[in-house]
Amino acid sequence: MNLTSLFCRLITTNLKRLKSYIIPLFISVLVLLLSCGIAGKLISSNLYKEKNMTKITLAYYLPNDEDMTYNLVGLNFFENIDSVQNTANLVQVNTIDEGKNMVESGNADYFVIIPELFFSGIMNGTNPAIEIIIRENSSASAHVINELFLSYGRYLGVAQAAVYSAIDTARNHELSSEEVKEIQDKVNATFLNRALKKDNYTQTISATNEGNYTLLEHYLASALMITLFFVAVVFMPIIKEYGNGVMLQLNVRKINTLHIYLCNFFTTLIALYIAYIPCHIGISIYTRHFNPAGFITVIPALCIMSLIIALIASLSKNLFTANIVLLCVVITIAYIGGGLLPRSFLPQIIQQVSNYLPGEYLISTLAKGLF
Amino acid sequence: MQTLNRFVIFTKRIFTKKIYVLMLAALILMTLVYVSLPTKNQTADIKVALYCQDTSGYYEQVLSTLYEKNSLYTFYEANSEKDLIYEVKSQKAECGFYIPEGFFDAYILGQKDTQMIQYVIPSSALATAISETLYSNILQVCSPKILESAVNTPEYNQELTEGMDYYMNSDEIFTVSDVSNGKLDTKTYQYKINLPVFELSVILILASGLMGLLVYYEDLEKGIYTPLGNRAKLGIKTISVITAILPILIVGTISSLIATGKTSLILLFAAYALAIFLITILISLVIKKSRHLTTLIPIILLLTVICSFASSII
Repeated sequence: MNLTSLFCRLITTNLKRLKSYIIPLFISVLVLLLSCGIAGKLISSNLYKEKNMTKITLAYYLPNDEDMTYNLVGLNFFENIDSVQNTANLVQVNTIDEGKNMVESGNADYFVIIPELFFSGIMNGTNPAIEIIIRENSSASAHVINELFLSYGRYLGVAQAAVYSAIDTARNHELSSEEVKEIQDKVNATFLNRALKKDNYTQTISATNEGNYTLLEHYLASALMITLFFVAVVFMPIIKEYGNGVMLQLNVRKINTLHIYLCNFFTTLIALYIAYIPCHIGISIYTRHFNPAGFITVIPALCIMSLIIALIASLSKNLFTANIVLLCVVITIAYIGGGLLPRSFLPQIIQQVSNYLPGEYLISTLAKGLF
Repeated sequence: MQTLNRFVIFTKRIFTKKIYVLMLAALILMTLVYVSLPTKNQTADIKVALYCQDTSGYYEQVLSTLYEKNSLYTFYEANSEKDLIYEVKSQKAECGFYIPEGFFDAYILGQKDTQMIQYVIPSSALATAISETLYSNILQVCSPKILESAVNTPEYNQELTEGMDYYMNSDEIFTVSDVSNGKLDTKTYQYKINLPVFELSVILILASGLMGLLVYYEDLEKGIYTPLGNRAKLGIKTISVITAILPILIVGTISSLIATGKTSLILLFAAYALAIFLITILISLVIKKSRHLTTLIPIILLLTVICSFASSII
């Protein structure tokens, strides 16, 4: 029997032995994938916890005057601004004294008094002062509201300056009153659009995604990687424990360590692929997304994992050492590859080391295969 | 006397296991690394990352107005969009703004096709408030050109710009005075990178307990305890597990005390060690062979690591 056929026979023998490990393999896949998957789901849900910011209570007084219509329009705009909705609870009061009492008693943090004919004053340039009474002015919340007032004041001031400049220019060029009004309205509308329709010019994107995948997808891929590495402990006896008698026979026939390593590699690759199939189906059912190409695209990742497992099995003295070394190696690969914490949370030096280790590549390849 | 002899023998035996010595060394090394790590200073101010690819020149003016004003937020520039996203993801920045090429020209003309991107995470509670500050400054910088675009009469442009400039620097427009009391005092605090010395110690205590059980099973399968009765075997099993746990428990407790300085950990460690001992004995009632235990040990440890990690995040 020549070396090649003996080598092939060694592989087929290992594969036959693998048949008796199929059920324990599937049971361990189920247990590991469930445990790691649940942990991954919990981590992805809680990693970026939504901060509940205590909203400021902002009381306001609107005078019942000729400008009431404008006041209500202005109030409607103000209430619908996202930044106001996220930072303040608005409370209207009927009298100024009621508002002041609310601040003194601590039921309101800010009290804004809109003066008589406020909007008329804005339009004619008299700019009546808005009085703001505050409960305390040094906390972070007070500074946030202060920033908002400064921003809104800037919007109004810039719009006013633009309108006045346009009116002055139109009058300097002796345009008719209708033309001046038209320019005034156009400038008003333009600056209102720029100030209040920010959604037209901004796109908000969640930065929680890991590359092209959501955090959940990333952690599911990471759970899959850890599961596949760890099912190796089930069939480690096949690739680790060659009896002394068998070794002697193999050495006589010139089968050396390299051949055994390659044999272990092929056995591991096939075992991992068998373990991958139910994982892919299970995750596809859970995420309701099935990518059949994943059964092919995952092969390079499985090859790398098989190389690592076969190397550990070949170099370890006994089964226990092989399993413990596998545990340490997998935890290290998972951690440095961003499988436990996203890479952006890791210290800079570990992020740089990560570029030279297979963790990130394995997770992204598995994610690509699944999603 | 016999018990003491067994205690000494099992302790010596466990130290012949290279893996065990490595576990002890890893714990000591981590403690030494933690002690030698320098403390860092970090301010608790609210940082906002910016990255701009627009070359129209407005960005520099916006930056200049942001830096001039006594804002609550600290705006700073990231090196690239990727770095900007990293800064937000790692929660170093509250949020980040990416300004693409052509944004300012599109904003001036009111076109929606070139949008600024705001990167946020769920904990960005101030993202909308920060957006107001940035946009109000952008509006202020772009206002002359927006006005020219709105009026749309090129021969008026210079007058419009001069008029705009005049009114922006006058008292004739609406302004808001600062109502807060000075600049927010953002404390500078010191921090050290947290290494999981305590968590690692507990996991290694569990590992050592299981190793002690494994040593007992290996001896049992070699037939060393065949002449002994069940009670004696139970006693040896107990000693094997305890002698494996004790050295790691002592080293782990000292390491955690050095790392955290909390003396209450001594009791906590004692409680964990007792719980792990009981868990190991319970496992021994189910798993009777060393081969099965060898397969199970890494899985138990993996699940423990993942559970402790998940619970620390949650």
